[in-house]
Amino acid sequence: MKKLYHKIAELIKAAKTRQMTIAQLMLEQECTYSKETKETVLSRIKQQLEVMHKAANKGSSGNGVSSRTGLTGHQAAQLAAYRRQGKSLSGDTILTAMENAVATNEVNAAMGVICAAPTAGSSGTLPGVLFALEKKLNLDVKAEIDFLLCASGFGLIVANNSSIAGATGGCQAEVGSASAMAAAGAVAVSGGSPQQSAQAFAFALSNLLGLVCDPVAGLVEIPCVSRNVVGAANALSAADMALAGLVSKIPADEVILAMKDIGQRMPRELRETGLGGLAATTTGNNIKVKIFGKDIQ
Amino acid sequence: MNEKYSSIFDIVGPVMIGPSSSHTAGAVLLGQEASKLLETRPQKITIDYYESFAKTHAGHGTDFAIVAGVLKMAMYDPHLPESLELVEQLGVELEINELKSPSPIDHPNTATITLTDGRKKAALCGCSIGGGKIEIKRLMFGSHQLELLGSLPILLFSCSSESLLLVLKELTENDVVVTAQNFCKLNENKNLYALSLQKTLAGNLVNNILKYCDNLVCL
Repeated sequence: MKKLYHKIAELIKAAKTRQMTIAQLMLEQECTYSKETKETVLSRIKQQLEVMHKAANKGSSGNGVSSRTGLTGHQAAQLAAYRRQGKSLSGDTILTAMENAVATNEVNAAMGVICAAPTAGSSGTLPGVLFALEKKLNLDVKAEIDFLLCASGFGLIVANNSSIAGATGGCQAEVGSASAMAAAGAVAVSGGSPQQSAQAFAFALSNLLGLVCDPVAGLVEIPCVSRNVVGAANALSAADMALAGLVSKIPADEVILAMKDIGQRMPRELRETGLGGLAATTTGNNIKVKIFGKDIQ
Repeated sequence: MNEKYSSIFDIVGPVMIGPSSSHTAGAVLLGQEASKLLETRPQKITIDYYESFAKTHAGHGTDFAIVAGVLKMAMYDPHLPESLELVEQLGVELEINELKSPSPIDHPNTATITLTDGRKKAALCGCSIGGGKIEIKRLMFGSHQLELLGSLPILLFSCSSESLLLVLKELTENDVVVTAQNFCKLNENKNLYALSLQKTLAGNLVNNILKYCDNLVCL
């Protein structure tokens, strides 16, 4: 049985020598692993894509959704209204990415159905980037599936060489990984090479190294919802850097190991315990006491 | 490299109810696996949390997720957040403990789920490693305890050491790779075995193995 790609360098080399895209290599790997046909695997990815579409639409249509605590909600709808005025500073593509990222994470915080990518806390980043590009580049379903295949290839390598859990590696492991995966996928559907996808991945993950996981009241709301905005915007910037031909001095595989190293050195207060960072601010503590009735620490 | 994640759907997926893949979706799976250890619905569910789970279970919906899993609900079931009300209506007792000691299995997202039905008591100690993936490191049945490598699927059954050879032969003949094997003694003639497998068994193979062993559970 053909093994998994262990390193990004291996994946890029295989794409080059076999003249295949990363999406094609990942489809092949998944078929070998699951012993399913290409059609079955593709139809399952299409289902994940539909869940992503539904969540993003639910969060941004009308007045949007609100979480049970009321801490997050309705902001995707607010961003959409602002975007439609055409006066945004960051432009339509970034604004659309922000809007879809926030919408998805608001649905997640409201206990709605989402597709984790790679986690629920970071579930807005990939759809944010993908649906902004869908609009800008008129992507069809096939191209969107390629985006997810390419992104998941990079994601598997991060998950197996480092971590995708906030409790283990902080938010760099969640939104950082999601952003880097999205950057790689964005390059692929914009006509960039596999090598450029790896560069975009390296830039995106490098830029978010050290990001801590400090959820207020231990909820996946503040700052998780808006952190996905930085995940999506950073992914588009990193993709543009790679498409412009910029090269990361530190190779992608080494950036992943740096992320692991930082995660291991990160104090537990900043790894999804709700004990440090924003969670430990006066306001953060007050929110916790208000929701849980007492200081549960 | 430690291949904890093998499928692209471990990364783009699972489709789930929020808010957290490790603290909600993974917790549903821990509950679902625990539920397989008893044949009947438990009369009492005890959840012991460690580390990150102990600090954030309330906010991350870990309580309703584990309970929903024990009630065999799917992780994308829209009624998932109502499982605590449901379990109360069913008259199942629920005890939740936030432990201050470090995880006995060395992972920040650790829970021990103990189920009792009045007659039997079974417990599972596992961790949620991120993105909805879980590992089960320890199982307890009454006074018997079994340590595990962690990764699923795990095949659990009781039989004699002679019958084990027949089970292993059946698996080998069907190209099933056993990655780890653990056991504990139940009595003079019988052991409780746990085989870690590379892939989930097909239904017909499960039936073949049942000829040689008892109490088969596929985790």
